[in-house]
Amino acid sequence: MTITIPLASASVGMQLASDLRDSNGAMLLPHASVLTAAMISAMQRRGITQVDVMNADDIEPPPQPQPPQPPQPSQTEQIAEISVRIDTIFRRSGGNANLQLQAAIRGYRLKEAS
Amino acid sequence: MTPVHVDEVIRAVRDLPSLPIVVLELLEKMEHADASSADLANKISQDQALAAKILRLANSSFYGMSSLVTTVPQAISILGFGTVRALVTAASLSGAFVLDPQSPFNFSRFWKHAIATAICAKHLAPSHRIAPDIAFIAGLLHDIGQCVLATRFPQAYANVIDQCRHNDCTVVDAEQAVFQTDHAAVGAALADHWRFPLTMQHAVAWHHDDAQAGSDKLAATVYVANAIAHALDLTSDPMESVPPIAESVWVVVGLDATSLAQILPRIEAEYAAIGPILAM
Repeated sequence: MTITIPLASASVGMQLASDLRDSNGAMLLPHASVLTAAMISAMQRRGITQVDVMNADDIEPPPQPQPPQPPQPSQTEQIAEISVRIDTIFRRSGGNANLQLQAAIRGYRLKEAS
Repeated sequence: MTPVHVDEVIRAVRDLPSLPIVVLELLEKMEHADASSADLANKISQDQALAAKILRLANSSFYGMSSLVTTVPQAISILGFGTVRALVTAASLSGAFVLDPQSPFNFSRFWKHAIATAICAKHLAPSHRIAPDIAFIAGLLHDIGQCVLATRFPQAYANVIDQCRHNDCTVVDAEQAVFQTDHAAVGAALADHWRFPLTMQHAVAWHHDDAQAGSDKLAATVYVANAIAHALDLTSDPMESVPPIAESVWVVVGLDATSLAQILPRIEAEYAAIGPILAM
């Protein structure tokens, strides 16, 4: 449920229920933005007087804590490259001993790359 | 192209020059732990190029003595008798082979792999009670037959290299097709011609031999060291491949995931530190 509140009542953590636009219709903050102190003071400076926010019961769960940053593309590529190279040089392999050696080399190279 | 007859190969090995006396003496003393390092220092000091190389090695950051080592006896005490002996062997061996400048055989890659295998063998040795410096020399020598074939039969060996490149076959298979023998057998014949200790001959002869390598600890060490050196991929060879490792040989060396994880970084660090100086 959406409620319209005066800006003075807006507090950090509230979520916008609609796009926030200025008097010219330009987008200031999109729907579902979670308000921060900086956003609220920016709205005050822009003369915004009221905002549509979601009722506390409807607020979407806060985003999960950031998962570990996915590796940079270059590192992902590097790891893929390492893996392909290891598979290539082990192309004649098959037995248990080769598999053990291959696993050890892969573990060592990936540890080096991370 | 007509294959080279195996008899011609054997004759070529017999025609190879004898090893310099200094190497022979060193190898004869190999089994004696009390071999005199003063003796060794004397011999090395007579060869300026060799002495310079040994001093550079002793002063490399790997041994943590940067620029403090100024005499050959000091260098021997830092590097260890075994390493210096191996170095003298390597230097004499590389001098015994002169490559046709037209040959596609990559001599520098050959030595890089020999040094990498030597270092691997040295690190594998202690766990099954092999003297590390003997393992080092055996590793250094294991492919020496390739040197014989490539320098004595440059055209036929170019054919071997060509086959490997185009058919992605093993060097041994390509050599068998062209020479009816391979570098392991030729290397063993050379090790015999040079009167290397029998166990060293076996290590060279069997480094691709799944059936035999497990019967001798040094041969098993070199067989596995060769595979690890290929797996570490240190020579920028686009055709690099790890040979299949027979279980019966692998178990002799007794590696497991933990010991592998320990030695791989050590091998690579030592290769990075001393490889370039040895390969010069």
